[in-house]
Amino acid sequence: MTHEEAQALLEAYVDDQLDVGDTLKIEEHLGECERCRAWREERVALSAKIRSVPLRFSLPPEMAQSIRKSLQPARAAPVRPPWIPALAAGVVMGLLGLWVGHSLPDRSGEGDEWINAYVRSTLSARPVDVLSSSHHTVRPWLSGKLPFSPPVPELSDQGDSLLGGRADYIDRRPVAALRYQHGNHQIDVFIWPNSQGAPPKDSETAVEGFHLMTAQVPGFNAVMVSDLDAAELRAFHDRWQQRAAAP
Amino acid sequence: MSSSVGSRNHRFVEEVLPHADAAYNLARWLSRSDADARDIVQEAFVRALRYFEGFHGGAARAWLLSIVRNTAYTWLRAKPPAAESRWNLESPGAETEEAEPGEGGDPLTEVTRQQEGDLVRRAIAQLPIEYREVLILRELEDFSYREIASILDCPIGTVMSRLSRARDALGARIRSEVHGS
Repeated sequence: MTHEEAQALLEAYVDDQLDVGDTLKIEEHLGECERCRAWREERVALSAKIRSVPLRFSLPPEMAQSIRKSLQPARAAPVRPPWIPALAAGVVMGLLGLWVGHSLPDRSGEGDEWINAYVRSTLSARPVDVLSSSHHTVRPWLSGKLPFSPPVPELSDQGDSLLGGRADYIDRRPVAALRYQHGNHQIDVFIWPNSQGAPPKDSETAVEGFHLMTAQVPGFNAVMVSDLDAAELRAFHDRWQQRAAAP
Repeated sequence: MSSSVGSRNHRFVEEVLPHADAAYNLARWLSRSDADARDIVQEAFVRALRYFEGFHGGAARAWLLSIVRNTAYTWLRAKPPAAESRWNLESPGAETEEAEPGEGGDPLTEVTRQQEGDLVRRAIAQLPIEYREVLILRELEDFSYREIASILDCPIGTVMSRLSRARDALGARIRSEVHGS
């Protein structure tokens, strides 16, 4: 192996990326070439230096938590243990339910966009654009961003605190999104005028860990998405719908 | 499709989530900012979850990091260039200092070690992004040339030559800092 050939491969040799044949040839060359030996020493020293100092940044713990939480809602809910072992069964039942209940050809994924929006904003560092528990703040803000003024029911007296709102664009229409906190769980309520499109056909959809429920209040359609279980979301749904209809 | 979303999430948690630290680390080194790195990682995870169905096993860490890298490039392109050159030296030391015993006890050695750490970090941070990324992927993540080539979507030869130039540049920077200060 000539000096030039060796030089072309030395980097890979130092990184131990050569096959046996090339490795042997390089080593033979190193035995007789002082320049290449010096070069190798320098490289090894540089790598050792880089690897000896702390360079690694760890994910901030609160971010790790929010990613994890948004991905495994089932495990993040120790308050409802009976639900967890039933997970697999639930999936099968859910599948069966969809299959038996609706023999219409493929309308899977109708709720996906809403659930994606929920997941995306949960992952986000800022799930809401206007952070306020008061409808006096949230509603005017939304009215300023959207071509309509959605109902913004406050439910703090019933255990659901309003975290704020944001404007979103889902299923080809602008929607208002309100975010509520219930216990350790968050709920997104997406609202748009009923003149601008129908809600998903299924009034209730379960996608493992996430539940979607539609609601109607005068003038508006709404979709709720949460990692709450179905019963709790339904209870929230009723409280919300009632309050939105008669504030 | 709704039930597959569930099992997909489960697989995602098992296979991809363990590499969240590596994702943040790469994003942080590419963007040189905590705030940007957070946004990049968050966006990368949204993308990763969306593309996960097209991912048929294999090296999840390399797969995730290629998404992080692409997201970072998109992100940094959209940002005003002035913001890119800021580099906060204090935070990396504080955050990355892993308790490494060894020369424990000797305060002088400790100071020297910290200074050396700062020096190497600063030198890497000042390199052009295409050098930074190969260095991080090779020296911190220990990827093979072949894996790096798949992450950067370039030939293996390019990985080798870029890594070679990156090390030349880093070595030169460290030497000039040592002699300059």
